[in-house]
Amino acid sequence: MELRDFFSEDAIELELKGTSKDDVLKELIALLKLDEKSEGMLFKMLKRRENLGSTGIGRGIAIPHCRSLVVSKLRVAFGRKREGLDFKAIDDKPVNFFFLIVAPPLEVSNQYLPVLGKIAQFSKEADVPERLLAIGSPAEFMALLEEKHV
Amino acid sequence: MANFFQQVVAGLGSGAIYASLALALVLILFDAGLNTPIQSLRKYIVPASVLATLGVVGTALLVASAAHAVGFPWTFALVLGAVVSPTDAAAVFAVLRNSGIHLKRRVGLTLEAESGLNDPMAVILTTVLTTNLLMPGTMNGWTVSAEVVVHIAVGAAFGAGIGFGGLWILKKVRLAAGGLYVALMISFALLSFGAPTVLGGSGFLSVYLSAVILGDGELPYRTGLLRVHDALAWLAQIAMFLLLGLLVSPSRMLDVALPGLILAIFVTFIARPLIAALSLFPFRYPAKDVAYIGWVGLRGAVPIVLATFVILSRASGSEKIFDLVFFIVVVNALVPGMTVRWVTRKLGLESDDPPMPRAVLEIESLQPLGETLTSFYIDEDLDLAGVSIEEIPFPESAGATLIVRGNNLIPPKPSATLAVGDHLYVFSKPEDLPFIQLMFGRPEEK
Repeated sequence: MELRDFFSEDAIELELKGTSKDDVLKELIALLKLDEKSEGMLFKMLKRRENLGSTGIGRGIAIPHCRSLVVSKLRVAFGRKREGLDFKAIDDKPVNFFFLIVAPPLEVSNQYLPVLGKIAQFSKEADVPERLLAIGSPAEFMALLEEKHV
Repeated sequence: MANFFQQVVAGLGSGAIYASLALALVLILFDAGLNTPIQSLRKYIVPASVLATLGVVGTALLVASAAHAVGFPWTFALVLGAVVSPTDAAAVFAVLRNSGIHLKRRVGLTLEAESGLNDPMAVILTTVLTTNLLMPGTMNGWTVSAEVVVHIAVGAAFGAGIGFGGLWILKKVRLAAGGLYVALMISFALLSFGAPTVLGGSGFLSVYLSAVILGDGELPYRTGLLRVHDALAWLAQIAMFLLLGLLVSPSRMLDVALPGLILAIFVTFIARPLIAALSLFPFRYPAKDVAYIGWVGLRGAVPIVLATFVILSRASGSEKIFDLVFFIVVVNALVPGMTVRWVTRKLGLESDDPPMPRAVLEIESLQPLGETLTSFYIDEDLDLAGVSIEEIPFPESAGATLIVRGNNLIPPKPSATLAVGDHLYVFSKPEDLPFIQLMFGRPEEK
């Protein structure tokens, strides 16, 4: 299973505009191109997960995630906000990079937790925040995943 | 029998009684400091500090004004105000714990932080104002303020020094037996009290601060140490109340019943709610939080101990202060105290935090450990129900160590599955905790 197989260039936004946690979550959800009702449901699910503890894991990275009926297969998106945003991250520092993961409640291939683990593992690499800040296009983001063999 | 005990107390002399009460208060404050969850409190430390400093001064001044209005001289009224100014969150939490209610974090932690921080402030004010009562006219507003600043500065410096120095010693020294660490910790507590007191600082502030620093650091044999200090604090409270009971004469209570009742009602219905509202105004707490904090600012044992210090100073009218304080504390404990449960529910301040696990897993070690054991509540919104342990992508050095499900302990074999309501214990290196929290959310408080 390769992480890059789950990303598509149209679900990558390198200039997020939101100025609050809710704004950014909505922008990330919009990248999945769902209908309005599904977007609302997904936003509520993500907020419920954030209420159990921020998914901001430090080093400027957050991985909001949940299971929801609004998707029929595992979907991921990536967003970047250069100037950072207060996401109540574990290290209390602003978050610049957002990986969104949404999986259906029942998955035959059971990819949700492995994908979460892969993104977490990718985020741990020392140069990742710096490299993510430097990328200039969705294609470069995909190339970085390929380079890191994730 | 009471007469016999009173004779024993008289035989002990005021010095021994003072030393006993001070020791009791040192052990209680040291235990409170060790258990202060500084990381959780960080968010509420500023509002709690305002309540514990300006709030204490404001309460003292308001109560003093009321006492003066009912006929007591200013020197007397100010001491009375200072003595009844500190709140005791332990009283609130005891009521809530017994009724099985969890308070919302913001309110609970603000009350907890305030009560930890305001005792030293009240002790300083009482000490300074009692000196003024003994030698009226020797102090004015400026000298009182200067005394308070010196007490705080010296106390804080010694508290920080002994706290960090103690942590350094605990890190470097390896003692042969676990019990010796208890002796070492008690010596830190006594040194924290004695050294600044000799040099004109607040020993009580120093004790609390050093304990907060020690409690926040890496302690060898931590669980055992905390348990011993908890037991010592309880023993100190029992001894303290025994001594206090011997100092109360019910026949004298009648003399102060009317002013005592007026002042108790004033503290409960006017002074505390007003001070809470003013102190919390800049922090934009919701109105119901402010109302709750204002209502349940219960007075506990500390005002009675402070009143005893005033008696031991043999200042004129000190017995009356003791009787008034005793009256105020009892009325305050009865009126808001008995309504704590009802008010919590009425204001909707019950927390929906998960219940505590029925069994707690801890690691005991004489050496500071590099790894941690953390517990997580498996909430429905984590979407982990039915997931087996082997499916969870734990970091290399981390792993599940125990599942607590109701009254059952389940070994976390690879095939074991999680259920909503489980408490999962995870062993990990501190640097892996963010990734573990990503899967399991915020860790449970210990």
